[in-house]
Amino acid sequence: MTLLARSRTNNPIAKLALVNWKLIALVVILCVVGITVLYSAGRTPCASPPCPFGGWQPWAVPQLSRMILGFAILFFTAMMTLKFWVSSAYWIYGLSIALLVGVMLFGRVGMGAQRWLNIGFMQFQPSELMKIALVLALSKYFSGLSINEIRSNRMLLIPTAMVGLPVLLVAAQPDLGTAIQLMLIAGTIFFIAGVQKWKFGAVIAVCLIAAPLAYKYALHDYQRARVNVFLDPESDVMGAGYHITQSKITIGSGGVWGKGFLEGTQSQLAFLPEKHTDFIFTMFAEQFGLVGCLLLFALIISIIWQCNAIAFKSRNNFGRILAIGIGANFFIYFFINTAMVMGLIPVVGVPSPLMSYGGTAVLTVLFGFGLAQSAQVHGDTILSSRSSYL
Amino acid sequence: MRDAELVKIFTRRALLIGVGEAALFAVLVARLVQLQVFENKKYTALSDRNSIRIKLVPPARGIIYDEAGEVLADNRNAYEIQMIPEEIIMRGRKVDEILDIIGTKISLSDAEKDRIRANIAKKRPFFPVIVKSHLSWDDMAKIQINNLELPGVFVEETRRRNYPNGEVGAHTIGYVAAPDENDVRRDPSPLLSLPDFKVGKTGIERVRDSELRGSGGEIVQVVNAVGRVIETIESRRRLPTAGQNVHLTINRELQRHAFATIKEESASAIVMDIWTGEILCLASVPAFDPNMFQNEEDGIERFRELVRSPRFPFVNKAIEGLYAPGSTFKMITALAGLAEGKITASSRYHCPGYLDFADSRYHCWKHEGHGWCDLERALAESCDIFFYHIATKVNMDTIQEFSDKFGLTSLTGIELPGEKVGQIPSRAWKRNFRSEAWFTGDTIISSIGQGFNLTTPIGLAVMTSRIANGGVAVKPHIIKWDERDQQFESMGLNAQHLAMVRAGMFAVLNKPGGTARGSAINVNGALMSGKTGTSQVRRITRAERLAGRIEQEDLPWHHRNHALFVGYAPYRNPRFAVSVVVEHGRSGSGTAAPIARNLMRKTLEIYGTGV
Repeated sequence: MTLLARSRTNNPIAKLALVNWKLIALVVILCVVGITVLYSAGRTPCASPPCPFGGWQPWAVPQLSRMILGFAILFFTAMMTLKFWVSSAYWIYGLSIALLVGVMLFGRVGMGAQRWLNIGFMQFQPSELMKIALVLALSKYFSGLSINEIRSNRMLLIPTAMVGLPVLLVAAQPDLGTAIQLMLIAGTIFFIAGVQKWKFGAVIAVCLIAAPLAYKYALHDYQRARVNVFLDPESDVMGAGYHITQSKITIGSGGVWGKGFLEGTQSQLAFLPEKHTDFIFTMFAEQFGLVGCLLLFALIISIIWQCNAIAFKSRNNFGRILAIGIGANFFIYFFINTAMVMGLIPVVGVPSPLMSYGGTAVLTVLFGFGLAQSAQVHGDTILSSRSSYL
Repeated sequence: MRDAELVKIFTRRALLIGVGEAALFAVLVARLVQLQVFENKKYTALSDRNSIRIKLVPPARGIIYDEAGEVLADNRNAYEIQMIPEEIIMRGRKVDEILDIIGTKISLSDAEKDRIRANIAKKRPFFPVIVKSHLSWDDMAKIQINNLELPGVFVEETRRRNYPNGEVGAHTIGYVAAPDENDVRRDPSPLLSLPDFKVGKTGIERVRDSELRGSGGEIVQVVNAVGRVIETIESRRRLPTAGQNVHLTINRELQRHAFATIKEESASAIVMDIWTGEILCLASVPAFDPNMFQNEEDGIERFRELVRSPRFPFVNKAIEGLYAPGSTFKMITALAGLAEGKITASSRYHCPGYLDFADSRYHCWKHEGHGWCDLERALAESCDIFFYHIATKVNMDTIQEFSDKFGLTSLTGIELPGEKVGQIPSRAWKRNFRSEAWFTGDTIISSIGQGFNLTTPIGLAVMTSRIANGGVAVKPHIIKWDERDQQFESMGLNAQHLAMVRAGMFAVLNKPGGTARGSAINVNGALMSGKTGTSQVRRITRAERLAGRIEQEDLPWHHRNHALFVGYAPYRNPRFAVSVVVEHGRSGSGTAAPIARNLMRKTLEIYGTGV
């Protein structure tokens, strides 16, 4: 087996041996952490309320079933050849765009935004799929370009449009957080692909100038309120600032060692809204403290590290960019969410990957790791001439 | 790879991205350290404030005892029905249905039901709502035995203040009621915010409020964001400290007797120990039932009714009532005359029924006159003319000085709220407050306790005590002291003068012609001395005097004379002083003296004559 060259076999059992099991183990650990925190957010049913803290319902069990489905997707994705993913990249991107349009037309409105699409067994959030689809599509596009083509402005028009379309669709939902996340992912892939640095400088400069104008004219009132609250959380402690004030209390009161499992007063006593979704990190921080958080950070860094390791070992451009993109996407997810609940950036509604309760994100994040694994398993694949990618 | 340059760029940039990610992680770590280490204290405090609710537990109020250890005010257990709407709904029942069932067991009016429904609407469903307070034991039992058909309904035990003697001693004991804005402003204690908490409003309940109150306990509860109690932290439970008991010098039996004796009159009666200053009885009639403030619903209506009464049941007349002392003041005039040497034991004046002085005619109450009077007879028969003669010779300031010494012009310092200060004019007083010079005519009027003279019944009790105890500056008190605290100084007065005045007071009751001859007592040989007083509420005009005497009975009640009596007993070994003022009681000998007689007789029966 060890002599078996990577991706030279189509035997799935043989391929399993080529999977980056370290990455799988790390992701499983993160899932266990997520389930643990969701368990702590639940309640064990009892005859006379109030019931004891901690329970498999209503969040831990549904999340666990999605994770099992997610791992099935992960392994299935890993087994598929890189060629398959190259050839289907634009189709997946196209499907994601279609779903985003669909959500605009038929989607369910929740929390002031139109984000969900009912697909029978679950509420599907196309914008989550788009995050992976965009990585896939941009990886395919850039992996087919030569250095000179990458440096030409003309060749940047298509990928810019590929980013711009979903960003606009997502921003219209309105979902500012996902829009920003998509732009950051795209920026990372543009960067890793080799687009000149000065172009990033220019874009950043334009953004800095445009931001105040966007704040004034483009943002919805609730988004503006969140920015205002971010700038001065104490301005509205019981209103829009309630989230961030309570979130900081929750994290800060955890201290170095945490209050202990199921001993979090803030989250268990329901002072913290959205505790099981966007603010789940605060529940973790309250119960497990600084020490727990640092261990969690180490876990996240290890996962990104493994993604980067896949990229470096990959012998094809597509796999390299894809693996870096999946790792970067995971980092951006985690960073935006964590920085947001700590009050470092405005509350923009980005979940914590594999910790926040929510079906679509679990499935798409695991799908992303499946793509990285496919790049690992098929790292030695030599992909045909770049011109055919277009 | 065909494009080696691209791979190089990829490697460099991947490293750059890694560095960028590391830098951003460093930011997250720094923020975590800031929140969880440096600001941990602040956030822990905020978190506690979020989730910890401190519930105050009211202390049991101290008990007020009388001199013999009988209860004057204590606490009774009362029962209160409460319901938790959520528990009713959780068992598939409706609040209205439950209220109807309760209505079949105990009386529950539609208005009460509406109030309960309004309260439920205001509160979160798991907070208990009071259905009915102040339940009798029977009503409580009716709810308790039916608790199976009344889910979410339970009986709470509460405490209410109880005054077993009702209106007897109401002014002295006072009462407690819910605090008003003034109480809240004056008193920062968080106990006042408790819905059922009561504060002392008058009497001892007010002046000893802080001692009686005790200090509150605490129950520390963990609550969730909507205020539901999750658990009670037993280790932080603090029991309340019950208030201190207060022991009064009042004798409940004597107090009851005073009320029984005064009956329908508007009057006050005081019995005081002339040596210790202990007030054994301090009655003001009519009174009110302090229990009525414990039950708000019907209490307010009774309160309004009483407030409108012309006999001022809420005024403690014994210390707040100001009356012209009338003839009870004659002892002071006599002592001033004796002190200045203007009269002696042998001084005699003729009373033809009037005295002409400086173009004015001053009348004696006895139209036909008393004939020749010495001091003893003048006091015994209350001859005005004798004192007019003193007044023409003595300096008003001396009379005022003696009034001072005998406690008529300053607060006695009794531990009750609202005491008024008496007023005996001096030359300076009239100059300052009336902008007029003092005339001898003013002294004449003052000498018999009329004119500008005003005294309180407690002031008269002090005066009488100091005459009886030979000039010891006793002061009254109503809260029991330790024995060692009782130390009053002698004022160094002429004992002979005092003895002469006392002889006159003895004659008032015990010699033929004495104005209170009919009120003499003999309890195992103990006799009472005293002095009657009848003070005019309105002047008798010259026209009326010419038209002939007007009978007091013919006047409307509020124009009738005040009736006063001061006395002490036993004559030979004095121990107790009595002071009775009957508002519009017509005459001291007719109404005040008999009340004093009954009261003193009872006092001597209770305490013995000491002979």
